[in-house]
Amino acid sequence: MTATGRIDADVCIVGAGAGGAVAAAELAEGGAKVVVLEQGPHHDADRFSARPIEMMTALYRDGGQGVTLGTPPIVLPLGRGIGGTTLVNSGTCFRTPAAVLERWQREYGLHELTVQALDPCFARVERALSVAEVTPELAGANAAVARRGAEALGWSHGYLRRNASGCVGSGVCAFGCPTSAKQHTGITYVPRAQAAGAEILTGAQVHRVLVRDGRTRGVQASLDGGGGLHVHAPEVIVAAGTIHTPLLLERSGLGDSSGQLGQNLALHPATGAFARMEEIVDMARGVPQSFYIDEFSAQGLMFEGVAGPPSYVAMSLPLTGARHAEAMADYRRLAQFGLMVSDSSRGSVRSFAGRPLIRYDLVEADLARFRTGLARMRELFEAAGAREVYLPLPHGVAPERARPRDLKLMAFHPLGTARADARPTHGVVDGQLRLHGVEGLHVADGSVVPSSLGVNPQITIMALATRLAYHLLSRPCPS
Amino acid sequence: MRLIVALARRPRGARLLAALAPVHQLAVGLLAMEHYEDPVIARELGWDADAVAARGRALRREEGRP
Repeated sequence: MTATGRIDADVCIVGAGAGGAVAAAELAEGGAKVVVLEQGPHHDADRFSARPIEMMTALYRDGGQGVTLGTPPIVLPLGRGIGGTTLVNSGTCFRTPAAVLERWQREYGLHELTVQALDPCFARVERALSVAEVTPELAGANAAVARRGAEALGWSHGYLRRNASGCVGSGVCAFGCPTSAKQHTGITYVPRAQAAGAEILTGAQVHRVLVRDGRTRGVQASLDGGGGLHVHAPEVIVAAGTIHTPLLLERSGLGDSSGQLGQNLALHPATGAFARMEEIVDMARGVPQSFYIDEFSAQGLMFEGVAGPPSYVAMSLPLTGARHAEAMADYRRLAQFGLMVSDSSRGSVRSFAGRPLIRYDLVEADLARFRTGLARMRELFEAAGAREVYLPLPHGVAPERARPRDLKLMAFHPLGTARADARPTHGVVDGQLRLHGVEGLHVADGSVVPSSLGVNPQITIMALATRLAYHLLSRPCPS
Repeated sequence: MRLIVALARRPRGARLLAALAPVHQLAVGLLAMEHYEDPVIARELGWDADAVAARGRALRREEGRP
């Protein structure tokens, strides 16, 4: 996968994650000559060791320790390489909620993005990824603990739908699936694209998108092995992800006529609580994210399973010293569940010395959501029969008194930094994901999603990329 | 990440990190993670990474997955 010089293509795609890989396969199978430039490497599943620290270094940007600047600082893990973050996510698949699509129509003028219009795109993605509900047996004992608590409290819950086929519950979805059961884009859409003739180049750093007279001409890149590369293409799809797409557009001097480029960053700030149970849980045996509780989703709170091997728990467990060691000695009886907030806070991304600088401060409304959510998590585990509950707060701090700096947060699902809005004065791309004011330049990743979804976004991004591909092929998406 | 772990292992490095609260928190977490990634310690807690990875490889070969 190396090349130098000049390549001519119908479509050049920057990034092989959730958006880029899907667009590449659909376009190549539709007869287009496609070139994909991916900054990261191809990951060989033979090297997946089920050891979190080793795998984080290999599969994540900055070893999974990228952090936002603000109060509180939030760890924002992002995948890198063929498959992008789909390689390291939990595999959860939710369609875009109808209420969110209605909001997009109302607030952003995206009238074409209706439930009906997107249905064939979602169905196509779900078929390609073998999306199915997790069975209780595969979900494991960690999910059973949460289910027991939710049932005792009468909270709405269910098993999640995931893109997995032949899963045996290895428990390390976030660290490289050793069975290749998780149907990430690197083993689904990318091989399809290659089989249809697409050229996939790894280690390709795209410097600029080239535009002349308001028309896209291609991209300028360099390759890890040395040498420059010009891809000449009348259509370019930028799919470098919510954090890096605005930086590429900024470097290219494009997309900021509205002043919205790099703004409106939405995240799902999240945290996890632990409980010490009477029974053996062995949380890493089973699907880590297999069960959800949506009782409080209208309040912006979503509870989803999370779990992992001892080393992962050792890093996440909100205890120190002897208490940490004592709880870890009882690892087999530890259960964990996650809390994800649909945020009102908005951040920004800009370039600093060539790297993304992410600014994000938690607003009062989101702090209130975390206070409520953490109190609910305590209720959940107590209802499930926990001997002890460990909330991610400093010792002695009750949820209702938590301050932003007390929260130990991670964030997932960054969205919105090149948001879609029908009005050129308010958004970076239009409803067809075309950059306002430039012919032939499109964006197909989380950056176009104009608001928080409240659910995991991977198949929203994939459905939008599918729709874009068929738009460029001038055909309707097959139903 | 490796740099932070290397610093945290040395007394002077640990003192330097202690002055930077979020980095210190990260370093402590990474050290704990590294400790429990030790195969002997992990196996005592019921986790055998080598067995999980080997089962994955065998299933992939058996079922012809990438």
